[in-house]
Amino acid sequence: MTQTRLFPLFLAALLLVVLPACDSEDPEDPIAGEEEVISNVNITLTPVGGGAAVTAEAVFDEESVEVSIGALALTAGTTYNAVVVFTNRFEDDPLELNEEITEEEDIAHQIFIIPEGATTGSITISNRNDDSAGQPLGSEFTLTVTANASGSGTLRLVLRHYEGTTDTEVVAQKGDDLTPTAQEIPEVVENDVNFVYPVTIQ
Amino acid sequence: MVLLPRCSARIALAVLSLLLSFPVLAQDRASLRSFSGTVVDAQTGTALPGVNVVLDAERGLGGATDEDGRFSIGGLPPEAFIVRFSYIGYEADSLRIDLQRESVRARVALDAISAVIAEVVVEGETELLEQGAQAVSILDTEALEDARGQTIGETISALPGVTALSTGPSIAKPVVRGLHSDRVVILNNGVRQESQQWGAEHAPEIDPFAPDRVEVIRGAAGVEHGVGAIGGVVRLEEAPLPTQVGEVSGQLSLHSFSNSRQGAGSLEMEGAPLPGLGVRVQGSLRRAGDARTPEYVLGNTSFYERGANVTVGLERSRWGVEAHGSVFATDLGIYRGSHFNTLAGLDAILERGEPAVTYEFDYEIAAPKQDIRHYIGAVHGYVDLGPDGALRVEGRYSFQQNERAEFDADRIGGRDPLEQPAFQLTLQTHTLDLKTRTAPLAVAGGNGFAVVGVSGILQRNLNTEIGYLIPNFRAYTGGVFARAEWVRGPLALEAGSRVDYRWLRAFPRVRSGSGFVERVVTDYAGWTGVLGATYRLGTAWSLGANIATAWRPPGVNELYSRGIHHGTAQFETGTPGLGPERALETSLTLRHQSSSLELEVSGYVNRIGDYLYLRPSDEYIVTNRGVFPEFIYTQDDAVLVGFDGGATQRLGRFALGATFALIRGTNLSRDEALLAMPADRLGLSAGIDFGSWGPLRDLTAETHLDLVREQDRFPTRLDEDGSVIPVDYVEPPPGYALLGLDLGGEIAMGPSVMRLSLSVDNLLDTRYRDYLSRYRYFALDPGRNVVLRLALPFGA
Repeated sequence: MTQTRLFPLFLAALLLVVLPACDSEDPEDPIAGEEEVISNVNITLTPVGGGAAVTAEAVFDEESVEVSIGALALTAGTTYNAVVVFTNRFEDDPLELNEEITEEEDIAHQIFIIPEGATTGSITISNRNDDSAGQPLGSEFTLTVTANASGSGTLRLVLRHYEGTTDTEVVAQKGDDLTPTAQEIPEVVENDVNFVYPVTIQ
Repeated sequence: MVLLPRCSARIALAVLSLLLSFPVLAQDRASLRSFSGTVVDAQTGTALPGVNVVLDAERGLGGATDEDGRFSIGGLPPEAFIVRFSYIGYEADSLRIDLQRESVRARVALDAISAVIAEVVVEGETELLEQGAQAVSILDTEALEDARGQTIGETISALPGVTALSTGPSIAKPVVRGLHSDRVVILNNGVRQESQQWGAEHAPEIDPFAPDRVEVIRGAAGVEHGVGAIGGVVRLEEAPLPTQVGEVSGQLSLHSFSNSRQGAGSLEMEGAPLPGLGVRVQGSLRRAGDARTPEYVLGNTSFYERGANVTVGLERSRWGVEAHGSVFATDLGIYRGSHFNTLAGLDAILERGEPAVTYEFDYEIAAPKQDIRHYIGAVHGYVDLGPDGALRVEGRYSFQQNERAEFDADRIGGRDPLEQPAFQLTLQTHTLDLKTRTAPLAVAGGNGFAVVGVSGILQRNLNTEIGYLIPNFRAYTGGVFARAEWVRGPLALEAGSRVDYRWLRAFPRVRSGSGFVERVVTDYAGWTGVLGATYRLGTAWSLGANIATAWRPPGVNELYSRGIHHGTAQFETGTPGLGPERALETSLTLRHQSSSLELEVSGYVNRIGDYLYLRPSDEYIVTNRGVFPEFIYTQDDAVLVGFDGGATQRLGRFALGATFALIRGTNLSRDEALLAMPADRLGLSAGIDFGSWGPLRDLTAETHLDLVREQDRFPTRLDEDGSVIPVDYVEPPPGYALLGLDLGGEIAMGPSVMRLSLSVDNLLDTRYRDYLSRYRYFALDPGRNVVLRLALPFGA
């Protein structure tokens, strides 16, 4: 019976010795849980005839939730050379992501800019660039604002990826429309990015 | 990859050496048993009244047969006995019975002194009357053999009141009386299974070939099972180890499933190299390709599963010690069409309701997929102290490591999804249980015993550098309990109480997008209690009444999760201030057990205060992939009311069976139905025993019909456009009926007997969707499945 009574003491002593010894291994590392997300999307619009570039940045957190989205102030009657850049600020090389999207050949991507709201008729997109395989990409394009236009609306930015086991399959799905017409089918085509920038035209 | 950090190894070693220096613990089999049956004249078959049945004269354990030759001795300790039957004018006879696992019924035939042949028959049936005041269903070795090759969740879903929450063919979670995941405790060979069990698509990591017996306790249960058993307890047990030195024995099982072209096999070997020293080794393998519905192949639903178990035990007259180790690994594919990243993607799927592309059958496991490993090491032992073993001290220590890696269908930028998991979690759990139990004592004119115990759990969860599904955390849980049982004549009483405390330190992300984590400490305390009574009405009927209260602290997912769930297109948000939920369940169970009829019917009311669930906030979260409906972990009062049960009637060669379950779950605070409550179901079966036919023995055929009604009670929410839609997007699928057929038989092969069975599930290839199938939005449930099972025992 002595043994029985000693046992809880044994246990208590053991836990006292062992538990504090573990505390040094707190899982507190701030690096833990880095996410592969598109955390920042920057759009830069440079007026063709010279002048200051217009930029806007959209910022998202680790769970892809909106933190802030910058607005674009455009001038009527102006033509801009536009560049879209995707980055992940949680990665050591934030720009690596952009290279993969714009240069990746295995799975094709396409970027669409769609004017919505009051800007629908005032903004036109043209001259979308191609990827390294010669397929439409859209990370660079020309944006033209109609003369005498004014008001505010939005510019929707969509990044799509297309899946297929061969280039032919991918190309067949990609198409060359200015808007993403095909319905999203996760096995075939899906949006990686889809949000709007507020736009004002003066 | 087994990661045993230094501190874990230190604890494991310290506890191991402690247990070895003090042979402790064991089997959680503290329930009182009974021994009952009839004694007849071997020649004439007439009942013999007044036969002395003596189990242990010193302890006064025994009885005598009644006018009909029947005897029933209850309140027995779970031990082995040599029972002596004696009667004037007849040869006395002895019989060894083992009550360690279950109560025993026997039919004993005594020879008149002049007669020559003695015959003793032990039927070894489970005596449900002594299962306590709660509804309990059991799958014994034979029933398990007939269901082998399936997941544990599927296997037990045949029991009344149990359904499976499935995510395709490889993931099935047991739902007991409408509750699952953290609300159902799974005891795997005595060890409380600890993994990422909060996830609806995280199946129990258990080798389905390892258990020899499965017991499901329905309803809030058990002061000995720790925190969380609000819905019930699933207890999986291996057979007792052999103790007699003899030939090595074992069994080879092979299974083939036509639907997914699954092959499965298991090899088990056991023996006792020295008296009292038993060893068992078991290994299994399951490999399946893509499952098929009646119309199409479900792309990427293949899986590959491996398991290995080793148990070594030493049994002495006053003490015993057992060590157990197991490894379980599974790589399983997730149906490609169920993984989507945008709400538009989900809408398109819901509209279509079937795959968008035609999949070809294969065995390849591509992304999305889960890779899971589960390791368990456990030591248990017991020692009987005092005169006649008046006190048994038991102890069990276990270490578990659960590793879960989930791979998304895609990675951004077109990176290879199989190269790196979207998240990877490692959960380590140390558990220590100590308890001491008295031998049955004569108390107040009856027999009773008491158990007291303490337990401690130490847990930590670690994310890798990439991905953060639920935060890293460390938790300590400690509890103290006491329980007593008392039997007098037809009445058995049970009472138990338990107090637990849980301390949790978690490292959730700061919600600012900075990438940093914060440190949050919370703690919870709660009380668990049970009060039960069973009353025997005659020899066959009994009535049990039970009141139990149990609690569950909020899980780390409920407190801190935040993100899009790619299987549901929901943005799930945890609520850091949540408190525990508490259930109060009252149940009434009627049982009948005789040679021709077995019946159990149970009714219950389970009221859960501060029930934790995901509630639509009617807000939409803006992300870079569009907007998602937000669901927030919330607490409300809820009640679950239901009836469930089953019966088997034997009529000579024929047997008719039925099982049923009805459940109504209501959110009392908001007066609406609870989400994902199992639909009403009724199972009917009819079987015939053909006996022998040529070299075949024990030939049986059974047909069964499962009827499931449409679930018409479900909660709703506001859609983005303000319209009212079901919380989970679409209305529950219509009801369905499934027909099945089982044929079985045995063939003598030299000294051993090979068992063969052929089953057909979904015989008519019926198109259906079960409400609790998480693929129901995307595709039909699997079609016809022809299963061939072969079991070849060898050795003793």
